[in-house]
Amino acid sequence: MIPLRIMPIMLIDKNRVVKTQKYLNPRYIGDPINSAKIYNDKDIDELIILDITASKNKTQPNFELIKDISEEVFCPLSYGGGIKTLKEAEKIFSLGIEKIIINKMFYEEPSFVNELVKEFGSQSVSISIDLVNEVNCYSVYNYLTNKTRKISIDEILELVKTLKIGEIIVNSVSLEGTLEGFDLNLMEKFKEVNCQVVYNGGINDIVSLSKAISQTNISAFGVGKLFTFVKESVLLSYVDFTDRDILIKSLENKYV
Amino acid sequence: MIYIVDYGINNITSITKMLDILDKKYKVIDKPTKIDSCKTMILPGIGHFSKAMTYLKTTGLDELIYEHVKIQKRPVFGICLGMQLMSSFSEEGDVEGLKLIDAKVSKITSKDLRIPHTGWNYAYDENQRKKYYFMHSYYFKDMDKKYIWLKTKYTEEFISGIKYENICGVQFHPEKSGKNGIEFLKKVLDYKE
Repeated sequence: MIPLRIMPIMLIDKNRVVKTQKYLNPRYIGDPINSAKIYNDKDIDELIILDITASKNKTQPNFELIKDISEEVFCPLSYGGGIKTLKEAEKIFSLGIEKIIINKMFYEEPSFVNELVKEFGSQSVSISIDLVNEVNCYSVYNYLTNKTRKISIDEILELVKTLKIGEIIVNSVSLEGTLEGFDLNLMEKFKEVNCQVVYNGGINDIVSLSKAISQTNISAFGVGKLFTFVKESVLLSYVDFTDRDILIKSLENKYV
Repeated sequence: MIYIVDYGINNITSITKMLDILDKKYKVIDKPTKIDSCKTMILPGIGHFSKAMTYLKTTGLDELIYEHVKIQKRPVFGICLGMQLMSSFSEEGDVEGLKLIDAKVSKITSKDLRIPHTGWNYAYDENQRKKYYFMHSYYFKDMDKKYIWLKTKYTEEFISGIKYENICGVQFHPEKSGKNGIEFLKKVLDYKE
């Protein structure tokens, strides 16, 4: 079978969990260790942890926090934020993280991503890319400056082919934190990529997830707002068993 | 006592955390050492095949593992890359492995499937069928059939667990598979002891 992966995304700003909307206005959600534990207890597929200020503040990854989170949970963990050297990556793996996520360094020094793959294997290395929907075309967004990067989505796809990474997290900046539904066109752009593709942005309910599964060849999803709030109140949640069955059926129907 | 072999790159914390829960005594070794008190050796599981082999050879740990498994015939348990390292050869770096079993590690190839195989999938034999977390681009393609234990389907069936005499290994990550993983580790380690 094709594994379905639905992954809560936990955004970290220093020692706090926050939730943004279209990458802006971080709102305080809670304590990272506690939040990770809550997700872990809900038997999630995997947890994505993104430190959104490490690179901005030019600091190292917060090893202490990563260790504290990892010690509390038994689910697979991906971590991104502030990784610039092989040593830092190695340290993160040793703390109990399975996958590291690269964003800034992917653009600034693609050869670094290549080194990571050679050192740790492609299954352990992901990149995260941020895209803004600008009517019929997409521009690549730099979350550090809130400006557009010069590289195009096609150039990224070319670069990805040469790097042998295991996974790409495709973030729709325009839909992040909005609950406005998927960007199917954006997902379509990554149809030919043969590594794992995780879509993130705008996921609002099980019906739309099920639709995305049957209409695209993507089976991994990052979920932020939907699992963070109930109406306007913070309440961490996850898909229940009945809904999960519906989604697994949509996926199975595609591949029989 | 369980000995966990540290070959530079690892997620040993995830394993020791589970061993603590199971109340197992363990020791982490990163160079050859006395192994008289070692009952089961664990070869943990992330990283690149050829990098790991280089580390094992440079430190002489390869010979120690060989001694433990082939000469003293004591239990070894490999996880993901740790299991693959027991093979005679891997396409990941085109290098020779520890040669504990007659097997070759190949890259998963498929036109329709995304590689690596990542996520929760079933590992099964006639007696069991449970979900565990997988994360790999390579697998056992050609191997001596007597080792085959568990299988998994990623559209096509492949070998996800091996067991024969004192050798045992799995392609998935029990240390990352929550309750199923803890139960699995308990069974494997208790069986060995």
